[in-house]
Amino acid sequence: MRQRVFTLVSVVFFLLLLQPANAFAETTSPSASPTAPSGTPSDEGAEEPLPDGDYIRVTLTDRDKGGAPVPDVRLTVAAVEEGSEPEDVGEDVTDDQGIAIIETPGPGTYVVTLDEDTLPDGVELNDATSTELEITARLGGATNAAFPIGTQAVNEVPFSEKFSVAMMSGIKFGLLVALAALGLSLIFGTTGLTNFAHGELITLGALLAYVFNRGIGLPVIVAGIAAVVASAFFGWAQDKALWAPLRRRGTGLIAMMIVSIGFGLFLRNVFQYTIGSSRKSLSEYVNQGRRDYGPISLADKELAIIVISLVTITITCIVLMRTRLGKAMRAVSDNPALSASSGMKVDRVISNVWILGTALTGLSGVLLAINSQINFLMGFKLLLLVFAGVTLGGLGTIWGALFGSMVIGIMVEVGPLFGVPSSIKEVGALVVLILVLLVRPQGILGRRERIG
Amino acid sequence: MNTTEKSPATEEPKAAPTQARRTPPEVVTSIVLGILGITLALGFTSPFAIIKGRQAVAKIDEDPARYDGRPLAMVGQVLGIVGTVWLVAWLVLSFTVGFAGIDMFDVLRTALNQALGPNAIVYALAAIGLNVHFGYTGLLNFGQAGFMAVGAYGLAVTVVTWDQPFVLGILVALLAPVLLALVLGVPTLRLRADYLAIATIATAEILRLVFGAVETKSVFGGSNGLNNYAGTYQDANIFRTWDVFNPGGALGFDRLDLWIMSFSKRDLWSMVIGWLLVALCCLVVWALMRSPWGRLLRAIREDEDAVRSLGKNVFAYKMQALVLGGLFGGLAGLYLALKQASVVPSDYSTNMTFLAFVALLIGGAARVAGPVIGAMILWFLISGMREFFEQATAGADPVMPTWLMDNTQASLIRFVAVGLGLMLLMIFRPQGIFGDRREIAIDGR
Amino acid sequence: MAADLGKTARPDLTGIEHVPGSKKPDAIVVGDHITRQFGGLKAVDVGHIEIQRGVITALIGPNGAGKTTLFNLLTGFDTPDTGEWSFNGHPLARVVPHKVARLGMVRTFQLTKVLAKLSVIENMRLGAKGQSGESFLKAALPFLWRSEEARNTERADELLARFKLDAKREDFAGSLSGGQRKLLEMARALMVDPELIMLDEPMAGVNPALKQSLLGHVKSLRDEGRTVLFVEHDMDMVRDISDWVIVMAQGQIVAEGTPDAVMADPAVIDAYLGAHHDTDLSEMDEKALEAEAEAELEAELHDTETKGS
Repeated sequence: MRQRVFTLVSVVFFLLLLQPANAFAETTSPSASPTAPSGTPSDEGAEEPLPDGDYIRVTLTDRDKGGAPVPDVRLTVAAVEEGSEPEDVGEDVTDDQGIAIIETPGPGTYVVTLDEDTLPDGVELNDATSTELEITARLGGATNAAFPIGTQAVNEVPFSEKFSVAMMSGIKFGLLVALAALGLSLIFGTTGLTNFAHGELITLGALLAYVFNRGIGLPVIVAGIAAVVASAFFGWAQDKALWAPLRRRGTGLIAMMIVSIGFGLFLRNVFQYTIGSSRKSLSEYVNQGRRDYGPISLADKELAIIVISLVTITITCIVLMRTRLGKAMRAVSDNPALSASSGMKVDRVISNVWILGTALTGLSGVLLAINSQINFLMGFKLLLLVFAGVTLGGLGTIWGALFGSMVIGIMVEVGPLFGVPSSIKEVGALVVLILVLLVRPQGILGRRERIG
Repeated sequence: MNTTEKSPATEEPKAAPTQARRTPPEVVTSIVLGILGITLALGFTSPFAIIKGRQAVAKIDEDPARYDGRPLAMVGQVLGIVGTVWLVAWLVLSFTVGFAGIDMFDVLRTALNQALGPNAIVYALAAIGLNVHFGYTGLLNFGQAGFMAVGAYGLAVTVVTWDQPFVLGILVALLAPVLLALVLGVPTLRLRADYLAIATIATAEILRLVFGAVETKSVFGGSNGLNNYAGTYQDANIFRTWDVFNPGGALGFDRLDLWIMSFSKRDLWSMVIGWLLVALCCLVVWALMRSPWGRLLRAIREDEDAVRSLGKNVFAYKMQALVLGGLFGGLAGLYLALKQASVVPSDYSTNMTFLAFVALLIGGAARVAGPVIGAMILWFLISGMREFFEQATAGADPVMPTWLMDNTQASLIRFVAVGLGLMLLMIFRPQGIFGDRREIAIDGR
Repeated sequence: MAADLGKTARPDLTGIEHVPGSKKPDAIVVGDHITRQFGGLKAVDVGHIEIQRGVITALIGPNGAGKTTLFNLLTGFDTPDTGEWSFNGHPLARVVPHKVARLGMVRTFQLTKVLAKLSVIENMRLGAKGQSGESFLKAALPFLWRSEEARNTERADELLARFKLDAKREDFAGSLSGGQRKLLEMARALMVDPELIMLDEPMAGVNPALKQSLLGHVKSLRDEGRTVLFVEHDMDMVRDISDWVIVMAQGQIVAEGTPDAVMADPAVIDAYLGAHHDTDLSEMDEKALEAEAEAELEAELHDTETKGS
């Protein structure tokens, strides 16, 4: 018991350490100068060190306020080359003087993109302003550029509306996580494998959709379906080629987990090898306007994503509850040895689980690609959130994975409204993961050998 | 009711000789030839190193009672194989593609420099920590990058943000990973191995995100990180101010060039400090692991309940192991921060932990020198591969057809290979190069 | 009183009532109202239990009777829902396993837990109590613990010789046969120098040739003044070496007494053959198995919950 108290104290201590960040996020307002909290004089005038190599120095000013610098806005720089898509080289956030410094690989043409979401509350770009600025760096070293924007005041959005917007995107995100979590949970349940390459299965779905869409030229919807089918095939193939032989050899779970780390590393780099490190988008449904549905507004694709996820999850649950296959899967996950001795073809069941699990995960990737963009790291970045979702609800249980993922999705999106720094909104979910492990380990634990 | 099952009565005791065993001379020959092969002899002695190594192993296996030194013979063989592969590649490429673009000598030099240089040291230190966690105690810590990050930021934040003296920074850097281990250990050490992995990986990611966040920029420097704290360390560089032949004067060279190796004075200084640190850590691990304390850790790795039933406080020992390994991790971070004179959050990603694991598994878990050798081999391979493919894709008319690989893709091949290598290693030789299969932690469970 | 026990049984046992939970003149373990519920099943429901000091007590009962669960509860490896028990007057409720062991109450496991990747002698050394070399701060300085280690090794060697394992001294424990593992586990437990040694099915999986010597070893434990409590299915062994027998069925103690008396007790026959002689035996077995499986599952969950806290 003392340990638990100590832990709680330590966690509280840790959260207190984070407190300045939270407090600071709340005080952000257009009039304040937020990069340096007042009261720390050592920070005033402290300039960022300049990079040694080439860089672009962008000064962001507001021409509607007499050229006042705009702090705290995130700028992303992408290199533009003839005949290929822009490739991100870096990002930075403007400081007090509205200056952001981004290192670049050398002379060339770059596009600076402004992240509208990071503009101060109550301000938005006016119609005369673009979010992009093209810069040509001709010489090495520093390239200075001014980025004047025009802003207009908007009515402060009421909290309830912000909340419902965040809630909606949380539900959408949660459903996407849930699809992947369902896949992870199924595979864990039947094989005991903690699959660290699961994130790559998400990326694979997205990437396949991109290849079918941009490479072969199929419409996005057809490409998406094809990607899910191909994912399912990949699930079957990787079980047959990798995991089934390992199971037959009697490889331990920890060893398999490390193999999955190697597999993930391998896939990640193969993905990057194939599509490069920039973000890509599909050919359709990229920028859709939103429609109002009562208090919430959603783009058509967002609505479609929510509906598709919900339908898929429902069907999967029905399949698992009602059909022979589902019962077999649950039997194997309960007790593989007993299932085998009662005449069940355990290997076939596991193979089916891999197919289903990878297909669900691939679908999650496809929908993510439609929702935003494709990047070789997208799945890996999501992996911990998927783990968190699965762990939160209780591993191995379908409902647990769904519930946990929804909680994680909503926490990530709604958290910033309650002071979680928005640039690291995933942190909240991860902290919750650790807290759950602390207070309810039985909710997340699978089976242990019996003592004695 | 009688549950007797037949157990083979293998009561016949095996020969248990205890007389002094000696190392066959072939072992030494093999190692010497192997080392020559990958350095001065450009691979030509390597095939002989393999042959001698094989002879030595055969001799040892034939009469294990008389001979020992099997691991050394394996080293000789491995050196021989590396050198031979290099020799063959070098010869084949030299004669097939001519000398078009690829300078194998340069590739080898880069690989060797990296295998001995500061980068390998960082990974060696991190992997020594993981060896204490995973190799000896069975704790699956996937958050070593987090320990490294708090070590590095401990120094940088103390000196830059809080404007405190360098020495205090070092102290904070050593204290921070200990604190992290305590805070992390209490909730997570009760968990099963794979959940411990998830919890630690999550903690490391939380730390990286918080250190890199815009909102904490005033403390941690955001995504650009912190620098200007390593002056004291750089000023202490003996190669800058001191020369055996010319006391008081600066050393008479800019770089140390030893034909196959070349190091800047700055790297040379870091290497002296780094290898001393590695030696110190290995010494500590060696001394601890041969004690009853080390025996307890290995026992815990195998079966916690058995250890509990003998009246040992398993939790306390796991915590001690977590703290010790975390401290080594923090040291790795601190060393990284010193040698590159800047801390950047993206350095402390999960990949860092994974690569340190690869280093550990190459060398062999639960072996004192395993992580060190592993880190050197890892860096030899990945930097050699990088250099090779960079050269193969460089220039206007590269050796490698551009539809197959371009210059940006060249640097990825090595990680594709590392991923594959980790899988194969885990499947076919989980004990690594030096490990003893009967004694490793990884099977079972 | 059975004549064949007379030579070893302590006179104390003669006056004890043959009823479940009977009072013992010199009890080393006393427990009250110990219950452990797994879902809908009461795996253990012991109203009162006393274990007599200095004798060999057998704990018997059909599968799923709760014997191993009771072991786990008594030694802190599992936590009961209710109940109090004490060892030598020390209350033990919610005491963690390693502290229970340190008090002198050491157990072995049904599935032996020898440390397969440690040598036999290292397994033995591990058992020694209060080693200063196990302290993190002293471990790196061998001169602080070397002489103590030598003493422990000496004692370990004596025990190995006694258990006829000395030839295996340097082998990995994993290379031992099932019976040798049982012996090693017992010897290792003796390194802790326990007052009460609790053996969970010491005969299970043991080669018949080794059985006799194992029996001898168990008896020798008593003869050197230790108390022995063991769980066993092998009735021959129970009859042969135990001084007192406690019978459990469906979580409860159903009978107690000297071996011969107990074996003649109709309650015991009931317990083994099923309370209703006309019910189908296979069905009863199935139920017991089911109960056991459920108990295990719950134990796992519960176990993780309480681990380390």
